[in-house]
Formats: sequence, structure tokens, C-alpha cells
Amino acid sequence: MNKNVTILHQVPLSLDESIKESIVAINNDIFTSVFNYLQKEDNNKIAQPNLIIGESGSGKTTLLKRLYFSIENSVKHLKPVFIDGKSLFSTDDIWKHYSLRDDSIRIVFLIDNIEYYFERTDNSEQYNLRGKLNKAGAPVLIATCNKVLPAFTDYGAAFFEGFKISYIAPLAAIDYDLFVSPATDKSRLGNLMSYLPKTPRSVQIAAKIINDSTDSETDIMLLTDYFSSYYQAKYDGYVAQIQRILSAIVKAGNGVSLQDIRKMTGQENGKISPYLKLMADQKIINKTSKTQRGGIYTVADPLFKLWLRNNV
Amino acid sequence: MCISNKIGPPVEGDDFFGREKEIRQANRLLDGGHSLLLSAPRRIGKSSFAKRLIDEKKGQNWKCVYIDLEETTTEEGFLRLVIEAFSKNRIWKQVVEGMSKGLSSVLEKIDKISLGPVELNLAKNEDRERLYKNLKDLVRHDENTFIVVDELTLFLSVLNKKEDGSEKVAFILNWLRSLRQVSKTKVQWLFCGSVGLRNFTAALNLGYTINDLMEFSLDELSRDEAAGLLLGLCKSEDVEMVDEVVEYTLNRLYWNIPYFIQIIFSKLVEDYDGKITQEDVDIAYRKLCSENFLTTWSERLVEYREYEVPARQVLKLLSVRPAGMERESILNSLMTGQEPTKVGIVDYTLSKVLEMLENDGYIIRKDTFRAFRSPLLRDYWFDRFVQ
Repeated sequence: MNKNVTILHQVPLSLDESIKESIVAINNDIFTSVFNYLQKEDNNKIAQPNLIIGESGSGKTTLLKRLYFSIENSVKHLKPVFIDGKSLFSTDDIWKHYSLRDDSIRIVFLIDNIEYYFERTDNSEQYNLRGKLNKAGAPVLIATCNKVLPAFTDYGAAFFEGFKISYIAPLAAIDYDLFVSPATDKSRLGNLMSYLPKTPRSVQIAAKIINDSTDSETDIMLLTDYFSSYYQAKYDGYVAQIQRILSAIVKAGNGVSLQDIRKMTGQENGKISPYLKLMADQKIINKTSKTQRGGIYTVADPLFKLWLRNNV
Repeated sequence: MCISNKIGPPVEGDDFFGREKEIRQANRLLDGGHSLLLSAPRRIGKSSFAKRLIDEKKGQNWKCVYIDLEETTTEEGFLRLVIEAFSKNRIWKQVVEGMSKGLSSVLEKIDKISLGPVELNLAKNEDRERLYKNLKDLVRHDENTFIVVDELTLFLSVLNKKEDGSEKVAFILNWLRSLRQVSKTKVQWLFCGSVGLRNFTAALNLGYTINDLMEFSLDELSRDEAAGLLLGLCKSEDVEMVDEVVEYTLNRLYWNIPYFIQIIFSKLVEDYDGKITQEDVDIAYRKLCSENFLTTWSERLVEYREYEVPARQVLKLLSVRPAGMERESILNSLMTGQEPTKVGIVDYTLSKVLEMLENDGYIIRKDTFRAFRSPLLRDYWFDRFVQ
């Protein structure tokens, strides 16, 4: 078993590793709802596919694996099959796991990161999957995904309104305690978390930084260091005009208007506006409307903003 | 009786049709000393209803005032409209011996305002307070009086966006409340408007300023009234329409508000060749979906401000689904492509938007489903924004 865990990536628990209920006390409502549903599901009916939406590091994989072990240990009429979405390129890639032919036992497909399947296959392939699932006694599909895809909500999509969707909520500050030792400095933890997504993985990263550092100033330095290569690559990947606009926005501190950017870059509206829209669409920046016309632009990711301030 | 087909402006006199039950109910409440808040979706006929009530009350020798605040966007404009309307209908007291100098001078000013431009001193808070207090003291409360204030929320929401707007809004609402709170007053009020006054005041923590108002709602016409209106219009235009086609038309419209009946009738008359068939109704219906009669429903979404975009998203989704959508499905659609962590904000926004769209008559709620209130509006939306 590979136990090497980097600070940037926590390897999801492997299937043969037992999961202690106490360390995964988050997302209990979703776990309970799905697990209760599975226990009660009639083997002779068409099952309701379930989808769990959560951002990276929010505990989706852990939740799915917890379901795996709970089904295996306590639900005799179900057989869980865990599938990593990255391995899926077609419906057959899912269906090859359906080898069981015992009518008394129903398969539960637990597909992690199902976005890979939906992004790699077309609608007809997805209709094929729907057709297979929409049969009495066919496998139950429980999947995780990093966001709601048009494949689940477009009117013409095979899985339009086909999933019962649950959302993993961001952690509240009070939940951080679940992932850190009691000795961890809460003020420093809170400060670091203000730059990070509110997920269990972020809390673990922040706790590790506090452990390695001496004070809050060093905490922030280490944090930007850890992600520096990622943000450098991200920044280098943007076209020059986006880089120019980012510099202007960051220089101003608390956000800027289009007029400010125009003054700072010396460029006309026509050269700036299309890029601002593109950047907002790609969630690189946020636009806060103060009035009906115009708005204030800020960098969306606080850690990227910090990195830009230090490096651009 | 001859009904003329007026599309858009409020109708009066013989052009007003039906609503007898609601008129009786409103009369009872006003006679019982209640002031009313008429909340109803746009184009349902609120102003026409209010004007009809005025006719009723005039018939009972009440003094009646109709103030349409759509005409103004400023506090001064509001005061001028009120002063002029009250003067015209003799709501102000007359100068009598022993009246304070302050009141007499305001009365003099009031007389002049009715004749031409006079400056109202509102620059300083104490001047404003004095003026409002004097105006309050000058209102006669000993005679049966019915005052209709139309589009109050529209006016207040414009005023609210101006400098010191929220203070002025609070001041006006409190002043209006104080007028209603006068002991043994015989003055009853009706406030109406398509934008919800309750939502507006609640958002500004001013809900208490209207909590004495009795909610009065107005919905579509009853089936008999709707058929009566359509047949009345046919009669006035000398158009023949058999009962079966009348039924078909009303079924096609589904939501039988006077405005929709009037606009489909106007289309039917355009191509009238001696007989109206179900096919003619279908053609008229399609024309309405593709023409500009319903554009105000889209234009007025601007009033939703930061909720305009999500409101349009919701309406677009629902226009594709005649049977409607569950709230959960609408939420999932709005979440498409969004960061999952935003679900809380999106969910809250959706609640606000659904409430506003329901209040304004765009959509209807049936259990957990939401659908367009009117298939005509839905088909228009689909033609215009989806197809």
C-alpha cells in the first residue's frame, strides 16, 4: 500500500483500509440519506441514481468509500463495486463491472469523479447507460462529481433530471477541529484558511504548515511557496492581456473598476472589456455590481491574489 | 351595456366587467374601518379595480382620491401629488379662527401649489418634519374618505436608490402610517401596485409601517366572468363567437385575466370575417406569442436588479417545461458549471427569485413544482428567449 502523502495531494483511502467513523464525521447527512435509501431500495424496481457534488478535497471519495464499506459490511442484498471515473471512456467501461447474475443480489456502482465519463462520452453513449440502468433490478448508480454538468441539467441530455443531487457544503470554522490536533493554533489556522477552499484537505494542509512553521508570517510564506509552481504555471498560461489586467487589479488592493483599469493600463475600453468578461466567465475574477452599470473587479482566488501581489 | 376593448390603461365605467364578489368584499372591509393593501400580479386589473371601488364609494357619498405615484420619482413630486389631489377633493381642513399660524401658512401654501409652482422647503430635516406634521394635522378625519395610492412601491423603490433615499422612504411610510393611526379617523386607504410592498418594506426593516393594512388579493376572473367579458367584447364589436369557441379561447389562455382576454380578442377582431373558429383562436394566440404585447413582462424584470439574471434563467428553464419543474431541479440547473460551494448562495437567490416571480404572477407553485402561470406567457417566453 502506498503511504506516501504529499502536502498537496492526500491519496484517497484504499479499499482495503478500514475507515473509522470518527475521522469522517463530516457529510453525515448525505451518507445517511444515501445509505438509508440503499437499504430500503426494492431489488425489483428501477433504482434512483444519486449524485454527490463537491469540490476537490471536500471528501467525496472518502464518502463513497465509506458507503462501500458500510454496504459490504451490513447490507446483504447489495454488492458494492467501486469505480474510479478516470478509468471510464465508454459505457462498456462501466458495464464490464456488472458480472453478477444472482437475482437476489443487486450491484451498486460507486463511481468516483463521474465527470470523466460524462466529459468523454456523447449523448448517445449516455442514453445507452441510462437504458441499461432504467431496468428493474439493474445496478444502482451512486456517483461523485466536482460540479453540476450540463449533462445533468440540459433538457436534451440523457440524464436530464436523472440524478438525485446532493451538495457537500463547505466546512464551517467550527468543523476545522475535526481534522487538527487540539494543540493547533486556531487563529493561525483561521488565517491560513481564509486563503484556501473550506475543505478537509485544505484544513490538513494548513495544519501541516502550522506544524512546520514558527509564526503566522512564515505560515503565509510557506503557503504561497507550496502553491507557487501551480500559480506560476497558471499565470504563464494566460495571454499577455489577461496578465496585464491581473497586474492592474492586484495593484489596486480592494478591487478596481473598468475606468481604473483603463487609467492604469492606458488602454481603451474596447481592449479591456472583452477580456474582463472572459476572465469573469472563467472565474479568474469576480465582478461585484455596485450599480446597474459598471462594477468592481477582484481576483477570485484569494491565494492567487496573494501570489500575484508577491510575484507580479 | 357596451364594453370598449381598452388594452393597457385602467378601465372605468361600463368598460369594467365582473369582480362583483371582490367589490363586495372590499366594500365590507372599508366600511368596517380597514385600510387595504391590494397585492396582485401585474396586468391583473388592480388600477381598474381601485377605480371601480372609487365609483362605488362616490355613490355612497364618500370623498375619494386617486393618487398615481408612477408619475413621480422624487419626494417633492410625491408631496405635490398628494397636496394637489387632497386640495382637489377637499380633504384639507379650512382656515378657522384659532388655527395656529404654522397651519394657516401651510394652508396658504397648499392653495398656491394648486395654482402653480411653489417651493417646498425640504432641505433641512426639521423643516421637512414640520411640513409633514402640519400636513398631517390638516387632513380632515371626520368625513368618510377613500384614498387610493397606486404604485407606491414602485415610487419608493426609485426614491430608495437616491441620496438619503432610505431615510426618505422610512419617513414617508411612517407618515402614511401616522395618518391611518389617527383616532376615530373616517379616512380609509387602499395601496396597490404590482411590486410587493410587503417584500419591499421587509427588506428595509420597515415592515411595521404597514402591519395595520389588511391584505386583499385579486386573481384571475371567474370562469363565468371571463366568458361574460369575452362575450361582452364580442357584442360591442358586433362579432359572433359561439359558446364552444369562447370555452376554447378561455381554455387556451388558461389564466383568464382581463388583459389576456382583451389582447386575444383584439387579434381575433383584426382578421374577423364573419365567424370566429378554433383555428382563428390558435392563429391569434400564436400572433400574441410573436408580437410585442407581452414585452413589458420581460422589460419589468429590470426592477429585480441583482435578481434579474437568475429570474431570467428560471423563466427560461420553465418556458421549456410546460408541466413545470421541481424546485430541486431548478436549483441543479442554476448550479450547472458553478463551484459546488456556492450552492448556499444560489439556493438563497433561488428562494428570493421564486417568491418574486410568484408574487408578480409569472409563475405558480403547485406542491414542489413551479410552472408558468400563463401558457400564453410561457409560449411567448419560449418563442422569444429560447427558440
